[in-house]
Amino acid sequence: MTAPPPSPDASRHRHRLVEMDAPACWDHLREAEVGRVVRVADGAPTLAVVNIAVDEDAIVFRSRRGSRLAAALAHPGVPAIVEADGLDAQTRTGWSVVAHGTLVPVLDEVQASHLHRSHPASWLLGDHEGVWLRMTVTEVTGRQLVDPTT
Amino acid sequence: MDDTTLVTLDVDTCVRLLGEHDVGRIALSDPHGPLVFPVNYVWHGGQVLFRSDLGTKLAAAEAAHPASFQVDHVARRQRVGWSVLVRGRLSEVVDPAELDQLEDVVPMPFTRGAGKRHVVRLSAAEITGRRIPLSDDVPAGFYREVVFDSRVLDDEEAP
Repeated sequence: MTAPPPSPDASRHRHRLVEMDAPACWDHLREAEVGRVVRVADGAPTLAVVNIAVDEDAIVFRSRRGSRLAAALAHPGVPAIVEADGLDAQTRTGWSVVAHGTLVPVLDEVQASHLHRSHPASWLLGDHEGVWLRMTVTEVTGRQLVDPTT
Repeated sequence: MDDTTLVTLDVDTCVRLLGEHDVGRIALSDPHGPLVFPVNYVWHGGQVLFRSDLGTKLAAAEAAHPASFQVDHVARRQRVGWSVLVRGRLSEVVDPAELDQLEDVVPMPFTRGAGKRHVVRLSAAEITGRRIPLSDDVPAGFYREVVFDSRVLDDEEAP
């Protein structure tokens, strides 16, 4: 027996928000390719879109030297968040992951070239351009919006 | 996408993009650092409007904290995209007449939170936007058709 499809209006509000466990969150972060770095600058929160990659227990990304994000390097250990999501307004389904940590620059050249080798190129920066930033993740949470009718 | 080699979008373009989309992210700061929440929003009268429960977002609104709102669209295969950032302050809409007027304007959240009856606004103090420049292997018209649906890139895509 198959249940009759609900009316569009009924399904509209029936989506369930399901907490994802940490491994599921990391899977999304590994596949996301694009994320948003959130930090507080001059008392106000700000967001920047970056190409992200996962390296062990950290999220890594590159920023051009001289960018505002790279300027955060002047204060290593700045609390930051990396957010990634795949939300579809039409189907009202998707997921979102929020990772908390602190930003530090990757100053060690061996580590930086390891990151250059192991992670896909930036959409914006050339192969060896920019400076690597590393956010060691202290907490990751994620939610999935599930449509129980599909 | 960092902030130095991207192409700047003019404010009119940013505003139109804000109006064409409905999922973005609100960023706040509290004493422990930044916070971020995806929201289902509407751009209306120079404001980002969304519904919220009684949690962090509303506490920030009551205190009129500085906040940022961000919306973007990326095309992974073509490796291009744009991002618009709105900076301002959050406040809760409390005027009954205004709330009545906004009832059908502000989208319902993705989840039907019992408490998401509060309407919160971010009044735009600053609107900025950027996009990744097109590379040679992206077909002409791509941004217009897939990412932007706009006249923005006419200069870049003109034959």
